[in-house]
Amino acid sequence: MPASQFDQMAAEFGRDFVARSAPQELPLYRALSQSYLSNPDEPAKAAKGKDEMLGFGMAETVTYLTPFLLPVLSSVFKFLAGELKSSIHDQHLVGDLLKKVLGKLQTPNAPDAGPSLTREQLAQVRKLAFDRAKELKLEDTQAAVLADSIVGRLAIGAAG
Amino acid sequence: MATPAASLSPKPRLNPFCLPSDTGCRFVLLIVIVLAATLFVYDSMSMRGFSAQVQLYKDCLSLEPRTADVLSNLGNPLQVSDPSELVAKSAAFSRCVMQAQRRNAEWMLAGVALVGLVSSGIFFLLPTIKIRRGHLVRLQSEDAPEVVATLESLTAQAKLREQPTFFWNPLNSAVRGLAFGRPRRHYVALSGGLVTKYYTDPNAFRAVVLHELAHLRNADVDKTYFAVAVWYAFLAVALVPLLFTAEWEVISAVAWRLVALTVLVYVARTSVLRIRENYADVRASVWDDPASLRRVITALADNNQESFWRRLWRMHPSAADRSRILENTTPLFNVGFWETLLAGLTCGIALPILKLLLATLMTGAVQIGILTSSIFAALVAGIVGTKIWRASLASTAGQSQPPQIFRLALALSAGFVVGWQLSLSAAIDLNVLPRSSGASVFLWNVFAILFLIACLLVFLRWEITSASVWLQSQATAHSPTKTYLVGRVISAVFLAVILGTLMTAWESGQTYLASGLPSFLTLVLTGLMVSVTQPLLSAVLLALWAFPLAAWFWRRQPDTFSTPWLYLEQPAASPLGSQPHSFLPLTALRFALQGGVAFLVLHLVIRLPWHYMQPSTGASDFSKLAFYYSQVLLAMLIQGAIATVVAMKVRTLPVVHGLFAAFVVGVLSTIIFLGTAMVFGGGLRLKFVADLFQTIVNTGSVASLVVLAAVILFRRERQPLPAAA
Repeated sequence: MPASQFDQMAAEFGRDFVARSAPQELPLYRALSQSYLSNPDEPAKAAKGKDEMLGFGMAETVTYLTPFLLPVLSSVFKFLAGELKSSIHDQHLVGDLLKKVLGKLQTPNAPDAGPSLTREQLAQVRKLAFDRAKELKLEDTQAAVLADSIVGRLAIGAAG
Repeated sequence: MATPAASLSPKPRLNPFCLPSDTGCRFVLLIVIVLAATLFVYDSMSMRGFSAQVQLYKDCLSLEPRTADVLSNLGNPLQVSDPSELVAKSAAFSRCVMQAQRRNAEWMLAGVALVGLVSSGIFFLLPTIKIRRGHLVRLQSEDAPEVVATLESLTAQAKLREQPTFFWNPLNSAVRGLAFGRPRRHYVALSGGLVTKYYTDPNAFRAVVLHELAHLRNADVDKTYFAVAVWYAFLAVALVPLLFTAEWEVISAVAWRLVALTVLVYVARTSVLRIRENYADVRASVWDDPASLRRVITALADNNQESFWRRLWRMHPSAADRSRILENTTPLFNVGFWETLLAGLTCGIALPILKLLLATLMTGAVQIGILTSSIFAALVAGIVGTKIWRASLASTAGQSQPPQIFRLALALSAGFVVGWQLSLSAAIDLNVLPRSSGASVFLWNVFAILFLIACLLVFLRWEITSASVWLQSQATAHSPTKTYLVGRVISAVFLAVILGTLMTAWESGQTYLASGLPSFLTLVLTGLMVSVTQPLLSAVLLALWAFPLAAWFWRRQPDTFSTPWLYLEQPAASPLGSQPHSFLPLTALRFALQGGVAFLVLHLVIRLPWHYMQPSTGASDFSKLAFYYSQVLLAMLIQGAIATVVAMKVRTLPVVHGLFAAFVVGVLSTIIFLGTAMVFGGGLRLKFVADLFQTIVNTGSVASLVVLAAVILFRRERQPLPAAA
């Protein structure tokens, strides 16, 4: 399935999350986001400690954010788009508004800021992000960290 | 080699790559087991029904010459008066059996070809499947230029003959590497998580990549994936078709054997996959700081509380084992009971079915016996012999105890006997052959097993001795591989002769006893009489001393040089020793010459009166025989005595020196006997010369061997215990 506009946006805005939350992954971000966009339905694989047949490596818990972040962000953006759609009359402006909201992620003090998210919406975003991360087989703590990080960024954007 | 590993352990680590590794041995074992299992399965599938097959053999047995026919043809115990009828019956029986087995042979050959073909196909396709299923893409310089540059530098460090292609799955967050591929096309796959490690923990990244490159350098990747392919092929085109096509009667008759064989194939495959990891760890630890590798190994998901049985099925060794071997490589030189048993089992299973197959393709029981025993010998010499050489090296370097030959001989023989029972031919034998419940057959079987153990004890002792002295003689060479290879060939020939003779004798004896012909004691005595005149026995007895003693020609001064190939870390802490330098072949030769003189004197003392006391009509046959055997006995006594004296005088390899002296005395005695015979007007026939030589040398050497064993035991008993004990 080709990448949706939300996947595209996740790849576009995800870099900022990665730069703040997992800067060590930045050198690989381009390759990772391209790989994600080329096949967004392919699930990211969380590391498991099972005795894999012939490979060799460490059985540590996942510290690799990007492959999980992008699908989670995509779901969040899709949700936000839905929320914006229901709150404005001109449906053609949804895309632009969403970009404005997301633009605050990159430059929180930007003068042309879009609408802010309510506390309830932020709570919904957190739940959505957490559930999606769990779907991707992330452990509870890691899913929570990822969800909090996304909501935190959106909240900062909202506060700004 | 590089020296970073020196920090690991205060003791220098033995270089496990100086001789062929366990991985190769286990791989060969796997292939042989699969071959035997495939023959077994297709032989079972070829049967139109078990009872029909049994009936075919029974029909053939009705053509076999009866005991009464044979007895009625015997003019005297060793001569058949009119053999033509017996020969015709025997030929008809052989033809019948060959025809009965031809269909089975066709199936077996087709089965082996099919499993081989499918294995090759899977092996060829596996890399493509792996790339597709793993969503692997080529790691390009634009993806992560620093990572690619580091990979190039690590590949250069590994000194690989062919450069692998690096793939990765960016979305796989595991921290894992994997070397795979087929000949001339190897790949290393990196997970996205591992590539990220390059930025967060570069040492761990290097350790994992170097481990994978070590697999390529150790050339175990092809073996591994072929082992995997063979397992799938065996399941797909041997086991499953049998379960779906064979008649229930056949399956029920072979069921437990089939289960046992399948388990064996699986265990053998898994052991190939496990052992290679240790070798890759050790190789990687030489290239880079081993602390990182140790850290990665410690971080492996592992459960040290696993039971023995669970560990048996694992594809990887446990983290604890890996860490231990990383510190001290000596366990890679051990030769264990269970793996020796597995080698025996494999041979025991493969041999009868191979023999069955050969019997349909060629004629001549002796030729078939020799060919099959040669294959068996090559396997044992290649697999167990290699492990013996490795164990001997560790023991000679003072890193471990010498291998326990009694345990190994027991494991090998037990494996062989049990393997024989596992084979399909045993299943048929039970249903077809007339089983003699007589005690003589049972005794004969026990005797054969004891003799097999004794032969293997001699073989293993000889192998250990030869390995030790030859490896020492090669201490300053660039590598011991050439010597090792020559040793394998000699060892295989040595064992083929012993086992071929033993197997032929055992089968002939069983057939005779089952037919009620001679008694057990007669059979044993006849067997011994026949064997002492065998030239092959002379060759074996010659090899017993000649091969280890020949290392004397390549001797060197003790402690003059270090051994470049012995340890992973250089310079070597201690040299390998120089036992061949302390060989005393000239001393043994001097004693042997004295023995020759003693024989000459005593021979003349007996011959002169015997010659002049004969009637003018000439000596009777009995008198000639009595004189002949008295001289054989005399030579044998002198050989035993000289061997004992030499063994008491020489500290290094007393048995080898003793056997050498006994052999020389035997040769001199033969020459003296023949010389005096000519002087006193006798003629020389080649057959007589050969018989005399073989009888004197063989009986003398065997007697000396027994005496020398007693001498060694006596010396050990008298040796004072070490102070610490």
